Amino acid sequence: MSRANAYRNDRAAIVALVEPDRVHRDAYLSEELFTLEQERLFAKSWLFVGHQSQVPNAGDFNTVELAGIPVILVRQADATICVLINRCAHKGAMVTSDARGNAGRAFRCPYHSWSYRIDGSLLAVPVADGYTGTAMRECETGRGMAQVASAVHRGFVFARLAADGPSFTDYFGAALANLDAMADRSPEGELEVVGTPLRNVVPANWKIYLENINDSLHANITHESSTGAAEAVWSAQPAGTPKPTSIEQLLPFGSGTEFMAKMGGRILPNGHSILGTAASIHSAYSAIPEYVAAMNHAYGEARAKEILGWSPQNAVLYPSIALKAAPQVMRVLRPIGVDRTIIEAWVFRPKGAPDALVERSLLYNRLVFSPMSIVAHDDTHVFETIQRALRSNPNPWVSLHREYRSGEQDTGTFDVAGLNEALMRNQFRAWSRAMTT
Amino acid sequence: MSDAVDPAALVYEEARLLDRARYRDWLALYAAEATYWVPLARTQTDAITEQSIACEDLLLMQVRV
Repeated sequence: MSRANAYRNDRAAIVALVEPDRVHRDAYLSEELFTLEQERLFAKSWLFVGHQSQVPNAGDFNTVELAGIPVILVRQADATICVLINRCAHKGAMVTSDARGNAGRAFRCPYHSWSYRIDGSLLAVPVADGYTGTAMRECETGRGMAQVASAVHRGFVFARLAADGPSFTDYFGAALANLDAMADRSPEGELEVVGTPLRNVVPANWKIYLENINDSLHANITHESSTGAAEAVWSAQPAGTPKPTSIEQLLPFGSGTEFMAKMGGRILPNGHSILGTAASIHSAYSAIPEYVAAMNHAYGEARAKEILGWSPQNAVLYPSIALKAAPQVMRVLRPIGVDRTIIEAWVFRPKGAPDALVERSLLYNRLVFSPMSIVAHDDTHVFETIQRALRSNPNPWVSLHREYRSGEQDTGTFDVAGLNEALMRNQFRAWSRAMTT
Repeated sequence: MSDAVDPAALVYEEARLLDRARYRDWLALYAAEATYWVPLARTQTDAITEQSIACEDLLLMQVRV
């Protein structure tokens, strides 16, 4: 079934994978398409590198892999932020293998000690007279570690690996407001990363995971196991027991179809979307009086109410980010193979908010996004089985038919009902465009 | 169970019960005020103000089992 290069030079074959209301399984199973995604989709989109709060001082750096390419996020002496390709200009070693640190004045490659200023430019090479009369300094080697196009919005640092492509603001458009929604939940308007993200390895294609993020229908069915257990244990507690935050966060996963249908969805250009414009499982968390007071003081009651009233289920910044303004958590998808995806679960502290708010976010992360999460296990089990069963015949299609109408709107920004799979169809339109341009 | 419990024997017993999927017996090993903490970083000092893989009270452990 999989011929080498079945897709690389056959644009029509890729176009044929995505029909208006369904997608062919090769999108999830083909190693060749996975490689093409890295080159055509991920390289041209803007990927999350890190948050400026991770690199507060000049020389501070963090390393990460974007679409299989190792990069370094580093704070410059002039307080700006740079993203460098983590590749020694000499023979291609990674200049640093540390997760984080401070480079001081320069990075130094462990192989031959080539050193680079923190903006990536070549500083010094050993036994330099060996290069006299050669073309070393005049070619790519002499230019040092390459800088990648980067942009910062409310402290979130993004990078685009491809030299050409849409600008940061063109690519995300109005979806950027969802980063503002999280940052505005700080009385000071600023966020800080808490520690490092939790990491999961999900044995499934990244798109299976991403579609689930926009899947409002599955919750009370897939999570019947975990929420049923939570309901049973909670209802057996003595009368008058105050409801723990953990139960408050777990039980809404059992919300039924009627609730989910009213959530509301919004479709944005370039594959971005918001699920839960009207309501979500995060809407009814109990208030923290001290926090509400701080927000009222900072923004005035009307604006504070507006900020705190916006709590979608997930805002998806396609292709790899899912944000929850409440409870200030963010997932980043890092695909590492056609059937293997790392999910990072980040927590942000809104500066000026009481500790109770951040503890709530960390609790949510443990309960729902941790490798030990009983909620996540419900989904991961299903994803694993999809990756296995999709290979079967005679049906090679993944259905996206729910609420599809022939001739439905497929451009621009518009709202849909909460169960409409239009949010998933929107993602595949963006996928198809990126993969065939 | 006597007051003087050999910690190593307890850990082996816990592992034995989990290997055999005897989850209710495993849960019965824990006191009402127990906390089951799986830290994320070796250097972290706090379970709930820093990222942890798990920090469960007996209620959550009951839900898990």
